[in-house]
Amino acid sequence: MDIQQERSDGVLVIAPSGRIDSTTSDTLDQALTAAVSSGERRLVVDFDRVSYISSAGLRVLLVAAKRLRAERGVLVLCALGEPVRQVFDLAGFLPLFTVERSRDLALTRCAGG
Amino acid sequence: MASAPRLSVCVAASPAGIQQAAAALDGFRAEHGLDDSAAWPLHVALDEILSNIVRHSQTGPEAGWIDVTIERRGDAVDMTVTDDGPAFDPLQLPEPDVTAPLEGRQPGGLGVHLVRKLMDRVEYARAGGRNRLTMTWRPPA
Repeated sequence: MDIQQERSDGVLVIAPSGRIDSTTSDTLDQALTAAVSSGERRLVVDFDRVSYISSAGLRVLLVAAKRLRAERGVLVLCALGEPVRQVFDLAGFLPLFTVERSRDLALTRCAGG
Repeated sequence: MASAPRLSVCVAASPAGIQQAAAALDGFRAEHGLDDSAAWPLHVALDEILSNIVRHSQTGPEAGWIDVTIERRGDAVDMTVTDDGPAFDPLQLPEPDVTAPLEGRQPGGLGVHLVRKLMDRVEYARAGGRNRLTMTWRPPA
């Protein structure tokens, strides 16, 4: 998995690619943990290049969301493809996260909230 | 030449073994014209079951081996995962609460829940001192 990171108006966008499963989720975990540890409080995770996610990836997002909430931060997810959306739905994760259709909408939401 | 209806691999109960099994599934899908965009539930289910086995086997003195068989039956795909770890029926795990608020969510238990939801049929058997989980997936109509 390669992860692209981009900063835009005080928001850090983390964009993983490929499959988020038990063998790749550590890479995403490290990126999110490093971001929050270094003081990032407004994060967008862009799923545009993600083909699917398994529970190992859900676990990473859950931990990041809890940590950011404790730090009064904001986490917005965007561009969920159908496989990712379906797994979120089955796991009951959609109500737990702020989800936007596109990165632009996510950035607006993140900057405003 | 007709594509082979059945593929078997034996992988180590380790993250590298999980990657090998996923690659085998990739090859099988390609051979059978099953696109990732439709057949991704097979990958998620395989990852959930194998990572469960790896997690449990790490308590033992050495990593065991896992047999994975993928078989096409008409439109359907059967995946059978067999390991020689202690008897463990993942289908007996309690269902996670998927309605709890963020604070109440525990990171765990979701994997088998996803397998149940994404596969059309899941069966466990303990046979010959081995755990055998059989999953059937049918492409969406």
